Amino acid sequence: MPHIALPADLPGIRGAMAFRPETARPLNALVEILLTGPSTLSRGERELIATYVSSRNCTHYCHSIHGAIAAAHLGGDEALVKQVKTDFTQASISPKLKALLTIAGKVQQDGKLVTAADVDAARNLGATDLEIHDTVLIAAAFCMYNRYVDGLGTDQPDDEALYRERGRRVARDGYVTVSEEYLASHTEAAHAHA
Amino acid sequence: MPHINLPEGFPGISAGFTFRPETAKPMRQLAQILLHVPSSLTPGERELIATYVSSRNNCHFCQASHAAAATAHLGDASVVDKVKANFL
Repeated sequence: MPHIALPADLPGIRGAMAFRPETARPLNALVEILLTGPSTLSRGERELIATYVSSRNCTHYCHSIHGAIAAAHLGGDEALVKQVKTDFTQASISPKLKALLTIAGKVQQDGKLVTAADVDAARNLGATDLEIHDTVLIAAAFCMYNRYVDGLGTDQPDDEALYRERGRRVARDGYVTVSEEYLASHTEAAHAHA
Repeated sequence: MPHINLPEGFPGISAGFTFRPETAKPMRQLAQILLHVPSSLTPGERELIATYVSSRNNCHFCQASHAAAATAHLGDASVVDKVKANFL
């Protein structure tokens, strides 16, 4: 049960976002730019970074939903997503993405662990400064989202089908559009709480 | 030296913000709502929360800049130092 009175019908970050639409809007805008905006990294690659960081933070809702979105972008390849969560070094992904995941994993622990050698390794495999910047920011932002979801004790269901269905919709429509549905329908309740 | 080619003359997060204004915008909006817009917690109290967390993360730029903001709101640097060292 959540630590505060969040809307009961919305699991994970959605309940928290509906509770406080003012903060939900920039949070959704940030994730939209990072994961769906124009980039030389594919949407599937960026979702894998978000999934990996959420998995390392053991935030069930986030690693399940972003894993499902990643799979939707990657032709439904759930096995690949699972492999990235358990041991990305053995996954069928590019060496550049592996170098970026190494950086993301260090940011997840402590940004100060990222070394010049980690960054050079990514650069030597073709990573640009913007890709490195966005990798670090995706990892840092997902530590924030993960702690937000866990720190409020949000409901994080086990039902894989729920994540699979929603993952397809977010992959198709994007974060801001999908979030407007529940932000609009809960605005009144949220203001009553605030 | 930064790991990527960030603009010179901007310390800490302001260099990251200047490098990528698209992502800076929602982060600045979020900070504005959380720390500055009127709330039943004062801006000084909210800056103390930000300072305390940044201090526990050993992030020098963030703890120093938010400590300065907290001090400006509270008019008392010793409270801020005490919160960082042992808020109890």
